[in-house]
Amino acid sequence: MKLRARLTLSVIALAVPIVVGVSGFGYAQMRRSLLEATHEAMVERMSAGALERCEANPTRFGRRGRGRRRLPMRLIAVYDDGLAPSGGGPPLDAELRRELADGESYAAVWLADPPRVRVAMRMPWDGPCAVILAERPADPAARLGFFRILLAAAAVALLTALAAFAAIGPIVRRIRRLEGAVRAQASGGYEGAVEIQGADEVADLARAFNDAGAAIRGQLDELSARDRALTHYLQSTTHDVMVPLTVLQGHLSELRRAVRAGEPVEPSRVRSALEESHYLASLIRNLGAAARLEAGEPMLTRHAFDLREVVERVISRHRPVADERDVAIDFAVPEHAVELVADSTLVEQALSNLVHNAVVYNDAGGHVAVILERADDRFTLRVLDDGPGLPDEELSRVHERQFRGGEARSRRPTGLGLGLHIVRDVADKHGFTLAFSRPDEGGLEVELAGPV
Amino acid sequence: MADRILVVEDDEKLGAQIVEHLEGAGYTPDWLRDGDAAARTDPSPYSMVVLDLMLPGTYGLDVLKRYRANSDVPVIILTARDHPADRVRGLDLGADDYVTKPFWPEELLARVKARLRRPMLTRGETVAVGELRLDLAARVVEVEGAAVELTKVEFDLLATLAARAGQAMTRAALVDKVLDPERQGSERTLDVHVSRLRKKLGPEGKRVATVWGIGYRFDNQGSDNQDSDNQDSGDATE
Repeated sequence: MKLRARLTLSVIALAVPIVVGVSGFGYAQMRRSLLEATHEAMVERMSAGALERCEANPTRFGRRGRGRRRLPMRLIAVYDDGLAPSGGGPPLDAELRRELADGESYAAVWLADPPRVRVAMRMPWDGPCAVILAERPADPAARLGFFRILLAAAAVALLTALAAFAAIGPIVRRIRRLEGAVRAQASGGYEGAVEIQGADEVADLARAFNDAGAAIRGQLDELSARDRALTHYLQSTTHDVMVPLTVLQGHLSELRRAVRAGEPVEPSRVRSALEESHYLASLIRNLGAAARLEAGEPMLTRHAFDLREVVERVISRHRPVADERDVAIDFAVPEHAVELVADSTLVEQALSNLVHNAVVYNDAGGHVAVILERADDRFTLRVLDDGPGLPDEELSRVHERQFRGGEARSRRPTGLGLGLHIVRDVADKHGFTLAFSRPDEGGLEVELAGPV
Repeated sequence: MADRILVVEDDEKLGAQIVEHLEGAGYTPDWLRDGDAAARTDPSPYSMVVLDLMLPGTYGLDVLKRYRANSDVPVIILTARDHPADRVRGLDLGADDYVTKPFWPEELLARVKARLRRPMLTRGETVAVGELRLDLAARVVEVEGAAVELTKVEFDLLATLAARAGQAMTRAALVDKVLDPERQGSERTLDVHVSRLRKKLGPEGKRVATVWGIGYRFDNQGSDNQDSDNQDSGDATE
């Protein structure tokens, strides 16, 4: 339903009961004043000598008094204090009797055909003429009064409804204009703003539309930025994955050639192929970890786990490659659980990256050791190796917090790459400390520590 | 008797590889290719279940839930989705371990072995490996049947390492456990004790292995089975 029709109907729906109520109240008032006037006139008439006549002969009183005054009233009977007929008249109607007994000074019943009102009135004196019953025709004017009042009220309601119908016009037009503007804004990608006129609710609505539009525009911008980032991420990820995959294919192809030619398979080539596939797996895990880290806190899932199991798992993941490279890999964990509340996948990936680097950048015959220790309420996780270690320049660079961007993504720019970037991020997100040092015996020691 | 292992893996190639490697390691694997079949299978005859999560038919975790209703068989989950929520759910449902794809066959075997590893000894038992016999209660050590005189520190050192046989222990942890703090216990002192212990153990001295960067490890791999229930096959038992 349109606003205009709804408002008009609402006005009518509201006005009709009010009109009926007001009319009813006016009509009741009119009846009441009629009865009061009757009562007063009777008291006046009785006071002017009629009382004595009545008391002298209650039986005849009524008939004698008839027509002597201009009052259009017919006396029917008189009653004493106990409401018993004083002059052999009819007993008082039960309804009137009850009302008078309740202390009312008059009571009335309305009779039809001819329309008249029968009134029982208590007089301000006692005796056989204490109550007088009279009848008078119902005033036609008074009867018409109710309809007149009703008619007037209905007219008022109708006029109000018409006024409302007309008055809503400008508001409806403004809402229509706003609707058009909002539609235009939506089809234009929420660029620009709706014009705000006035300071009423319609203006508030326009303002709210503008705010909503701005919020939507912000979200659209964010989404498209994310979309661009995702596309870029996918492209560079594809590149990152394709390179080692190509190298792996190269190794496999060379192995096939050697097998076909009946030449002995070069162990170094098998090792390279193994390492390349190991690197691929590690890279894909790191890319997944990077995506979760970049998305921030809501993507981190913290739960309780035993850090000893993570150490054991990481060692068993890297042992096949370490064995192939003739790098001894070992670990030590405390006898009792080292329970940590953290994102287990990310912590595992961080440790895996450290171990991966320690294995891959080691020489044949080298060693890697992972040591988990717990002192009071802190854990310390150390990854040691006796490889060539890091030159001074790189050692200082890995301590820089902003060791990221393109360099971190590319394969082995500083010999460390994305993996170390993730270690740093995981440490930061969990409030762990990360330290690199060069032991006196050579190699590299990386220490990850934090509260348990 | 070889341990029977139930493998639930829908991928033909991966399943075949897992089965091949388990057989190679001396286990007896049975292979199911879909979740519904796995859900219908009674896991009780198996020593272990290797369960892939992404299966046709019944989902892996639902299979696990069903198994856990009336079985405590160790379950290792295989998953490609490396998200902690999955791990937590799997472990909550009663998985014992999980291996994320891609994995090296050796990696899976290590997890399987770790889960099937029997406890080697409890307090009061004897340890018998190769020619070495260690009676913890009586504090007696024999090599090739002959008693070896060890000092208190040397015996404690050997017993501590043997209690976690196969696992490296840091020098710091050993110093803490074995040496008397009152008497200047240092890592150097520890090394001296180890060197003496090795000498006294003679041919079995090599079992106290030095682990680079960490400390020492009691090596229980070798000429005899470390399991106490299999001792009767070795020479070292009385």
